[in-house]
Amino acid sequence: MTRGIRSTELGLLIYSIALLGAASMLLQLVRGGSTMQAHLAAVFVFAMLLLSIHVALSMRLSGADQALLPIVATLSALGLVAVDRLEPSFAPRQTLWVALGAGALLVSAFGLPRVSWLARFRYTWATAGLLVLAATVTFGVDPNGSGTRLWIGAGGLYFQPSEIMKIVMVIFFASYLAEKGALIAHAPLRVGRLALPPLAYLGPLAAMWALSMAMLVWQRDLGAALLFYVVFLAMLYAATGRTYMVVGVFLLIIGAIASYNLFDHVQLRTRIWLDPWSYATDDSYQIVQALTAYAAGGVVGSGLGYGYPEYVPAVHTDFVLAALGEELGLIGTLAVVGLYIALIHRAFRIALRAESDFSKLLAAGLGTTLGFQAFVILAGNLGIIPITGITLPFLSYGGSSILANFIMIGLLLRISAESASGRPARA
Amino acid sequence: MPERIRGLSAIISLMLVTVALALGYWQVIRADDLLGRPTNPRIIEEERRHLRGRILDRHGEVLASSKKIGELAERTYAYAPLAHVTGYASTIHGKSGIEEAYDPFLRGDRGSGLLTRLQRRVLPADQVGTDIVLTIDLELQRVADGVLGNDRGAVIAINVATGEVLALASHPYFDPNTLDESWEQLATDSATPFVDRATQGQYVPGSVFKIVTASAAVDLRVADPNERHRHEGDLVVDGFRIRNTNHPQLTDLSWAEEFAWSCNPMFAYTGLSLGFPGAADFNVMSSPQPFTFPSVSVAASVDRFREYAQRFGIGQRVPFDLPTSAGRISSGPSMTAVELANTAFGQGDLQVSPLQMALAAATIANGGVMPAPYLASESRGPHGNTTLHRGGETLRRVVSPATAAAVNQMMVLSVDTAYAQPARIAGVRVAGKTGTAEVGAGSTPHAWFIGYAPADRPGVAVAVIMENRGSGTQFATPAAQKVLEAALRLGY
Repeated sequence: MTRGIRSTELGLLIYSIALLGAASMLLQLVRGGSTMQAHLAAVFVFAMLLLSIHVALSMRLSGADQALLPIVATLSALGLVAVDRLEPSFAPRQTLWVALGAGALLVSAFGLPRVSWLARFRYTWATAGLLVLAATVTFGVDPNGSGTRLWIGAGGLYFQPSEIMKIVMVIFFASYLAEKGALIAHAPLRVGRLALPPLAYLGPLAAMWALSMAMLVWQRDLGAALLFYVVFLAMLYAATGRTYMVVGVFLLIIGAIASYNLFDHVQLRTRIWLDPWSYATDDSYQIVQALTAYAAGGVVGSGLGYGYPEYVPAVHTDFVLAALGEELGLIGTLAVVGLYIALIHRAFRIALRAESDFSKLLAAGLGTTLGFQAFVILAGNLGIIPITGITLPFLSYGGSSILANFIMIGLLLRISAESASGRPARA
Repeated sequence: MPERIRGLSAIISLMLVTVALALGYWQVIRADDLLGRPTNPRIIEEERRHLRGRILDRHGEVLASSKKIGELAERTYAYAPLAHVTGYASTIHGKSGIEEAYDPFLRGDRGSGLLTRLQRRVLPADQVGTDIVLTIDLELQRVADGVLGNDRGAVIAINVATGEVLALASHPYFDPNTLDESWEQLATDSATPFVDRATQGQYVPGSVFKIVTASAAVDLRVADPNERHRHEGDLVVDGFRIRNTNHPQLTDLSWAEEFAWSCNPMFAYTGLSLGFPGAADFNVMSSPQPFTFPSVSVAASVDRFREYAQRFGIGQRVPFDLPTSAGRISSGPSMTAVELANTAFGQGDLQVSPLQMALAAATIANGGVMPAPYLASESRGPHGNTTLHRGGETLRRVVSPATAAAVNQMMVLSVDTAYAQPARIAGVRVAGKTGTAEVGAGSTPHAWFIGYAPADRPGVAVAVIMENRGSGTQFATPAAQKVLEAALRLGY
């Protein structure tokens, strides 16, 4: 544990806080009303949370990556502004979730004896994760009428287990592949030009594929299924190389074709994706309105509070970037995409510098999760791929998602701190 | 492992770059296309808030105006019978009339360039539309609506020298102030109140069309208006008998008098003769016995007739501020002798709009040149005035000045001595032609009048049609007389 001044981080954090402060005041001016104190309080809470994390990192993990927290803080600030703009009544709750997320970040960054400690209990995590997921399949509820029963809980407090499953899965596979990766990579079986690994090690691949399909069947959660599978494939690739990718992509295509033929909702989404304009008043109303909102924003946007994002259904969760696109314009949306690129760039940089294979795979897996999740929802928003209901990391409204994402950032900070402390300090 | 991690990093970065490119595509390249689609609710939302420009008559009388009630703008139409001219601007049912034709002016669009948009976003002041000034004279319009009364039909008055439309009435009309509430009932009403009969009505013209046949005959020197002949009998074309009923007591008369007394067999015969060389012999129907038209080819006559009908604009849409209908000369591309005979006196399969007939009268009044009609003269706004139409533009020369002068004399004769006498105005020479258009057995004919005053200088031309009202002389002609008299009183 090291102590030191993190001046880069502090300097960048001031921009994030200033962004939230300026945007809150702008919304206050545009909308008027007696929300001034609430706005000031939210900005104050946000600033205090970030400064606390900053101080804690300076005290104990001074070698941790200094860009990560400011990037996440800026995205979270935009998320707070978006919720305040779109669903003002949810704004206090979103602030609360960010506060809980900050707590979760501290726990994940400081709570572990060492990062490798996670690897030791991988079957415990995996079993717990699968049990919770099974519980969701059995007892899942749909508290906000989204049409899918992805939540567990009661009495106003709901939790989406698939968000935590993401992390559990990345930890499990990082540890499994760190240990068995070299073995799997050796390919004693050859079928023509394709080299196959020992069949026994194909087990986890098949299991993961089956799990993704199961989520698709039971929970109709297309986005999560795709995310799980692709993250798994990416980690397998990082650990073992190309052979598994070929098999994995092949299985992905089979899965896609099978689910298209088996499920009405997959067919519907595909049809909407291929030709949104023909169903503009019913099935593809949401995507058409989202694209129109992006168009209405143009280059410079209508200005915060001057657009009509309320025409896009579920704008504060699945389509939050459409609202930002209308009011902040292309300048704003490119800034958001730039922040995600910077975020995954930092995550992979941490992976490259990490000491152990486990830490490398864990960081790469977390980076892939954040980056690919952002891609899946944004590409769905923009008609590049069919729409899947999945949150935009740090920007969408939603507690489980914010908690999970902050935990991932905590882990990345911890990995980067360990690799920095393990290295001789530069004179 | 490091190179594979770098590879993953590159792949995911590339995915996000694709997202950035897609953002550029939708937010810049396709933006205008998407925003112009009916699926964009912002258009309606902004229209509900913006103050549209006013629509004014030629003297500045307000016909349509908007005011704010709370956040939203409300449109008021001061004179409902002008509904077909002003049109409506509904957020539910769209726009029509001038509201549609000059929508960008009335909305006050300042362009869609990047700078203007930026300016609008930095200074989101209320967009104020520009006013549209019409050529309509509200006082004359009231007279036109008054003479139509509860009849279905149309009245148009055009300033011959300028092409300004001074009055345009189409009955039944609708009240644009209560459009949204009464839409269902109006849309299903069998009286079709949404149809602008003046510009889009498709009517059989009856005898008012003899102006076109007469112009062709004089222009081609097939007929000399002053040449006298004897005429007692009917005309038979391919076994179809056209009866000589309009001037039973007159047997010795000039061709001009045949026009004034609206003789059907004589105009059928004139039409059939258009393609034959030299002047036609009008003494062929001198005996009380019916004259049978020889069975020779009339293809040349058909061509001549169609040529002149086209010169008068039949079968083509009139370029105008409001949508117009083209009408037709015949149902097919060719015509038989019987069809030509009937069409030459205004029956057959002819279909014309009142606007086309008003322009036919205006053409004669204007020395053979058809004026270009228009409704919107200028826009007036905070950023200055724009001329929308300069008066005095013409569509084309239709007949020679000499032909126009001759037909003018015949129309004056009709008002002075024959069927158009109810159009007479004390101290003014009036020119006109009546029509009683047969619309099928058992139905009362449409009453028509077209004409103009004064006859010796370009004044005001009118067309009046009253659906299923009866005789043109009895009903349409006195109505037109009131409109012409009012126009002269108002100084046109």
